[in-house]
Amino acid sequence: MWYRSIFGSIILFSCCFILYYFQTHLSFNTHSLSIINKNIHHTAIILARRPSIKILKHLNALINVGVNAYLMCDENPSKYMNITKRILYVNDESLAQYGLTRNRVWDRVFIWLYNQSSIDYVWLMEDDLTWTNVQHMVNLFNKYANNSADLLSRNIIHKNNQTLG
Amino acid sequence: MGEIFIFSSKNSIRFTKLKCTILNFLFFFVSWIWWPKTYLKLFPENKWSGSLNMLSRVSRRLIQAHQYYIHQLWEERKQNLSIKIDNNYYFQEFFTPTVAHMFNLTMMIYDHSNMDIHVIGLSEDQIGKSLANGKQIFHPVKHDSQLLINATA
Repeated sequence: MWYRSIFGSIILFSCCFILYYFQTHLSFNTHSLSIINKNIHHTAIILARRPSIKILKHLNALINVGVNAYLMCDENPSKYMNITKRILYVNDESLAQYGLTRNRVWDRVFIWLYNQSSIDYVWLMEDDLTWTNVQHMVNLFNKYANNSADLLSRNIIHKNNQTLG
Repeated sequence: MGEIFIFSSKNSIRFTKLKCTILNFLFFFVSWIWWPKTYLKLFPENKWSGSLNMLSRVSRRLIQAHQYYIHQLWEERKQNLSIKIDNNYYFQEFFTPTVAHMFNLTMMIYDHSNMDIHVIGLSEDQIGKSLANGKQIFHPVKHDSQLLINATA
């Protein structure tokens, strides 16, 4: 009779151990997956007049850490298209359809974004923005991943003096 | 002579630093210099907003609002060819936050405590000092900074 109790205890302990093992193992996988997904879901576009080596390296650094990164150019980048498919360009005719004649990279990026309905949030960065380590950019993106603000900016000023900062 | 040189170069550094501080203070906290000089019914003055977007994040809602107002501006120009629309209406620093304001969209300033963001190009010397102060993100850096070599790694 007593060995039946011991045997039952061993079975119970084994079951608890197996459950604990799977729980910790699965939670680790979920955590890893969530970090990867967070990175994948960030979209960032570098805005540049033309793709320089430095800017292409910045683009590459962002892609390498899982950011869905692009480079929007102000000049037709056809000669760079064989380097990467991440270079975007919107021609002057497309801008003219919206009455935009200044032909600026900021206009081009918004015209492109009008048709990208799958992008909920996008980080836009000028080509002269840089960092000590690309992970700092990812940390910033992650920090606001669950923030629903429509515009995140360095500073915002209202004409009626309700300055945000 | 040496003392005079040290004194004057220290003063020069102080003056440059002071100039940058004043300029950045004016830029970020005191005035916004790109308000339109003319008025449009489309954008009531009490909705005018400005933002510096060297690094910014926009939402799909804001992109749609942007598209709506770009279309409205274009229609306004087509209907009244004689109208002269101030170029400042089209600058993204004005247009983006103003259309967000028009649609009552949420705007927020991100945490920039680890950033050294200016309007005047940062020198290697300034970057070095900012690095010592724990800064990690910089703007504008126009040159190939040896101090930020890991940026592209």
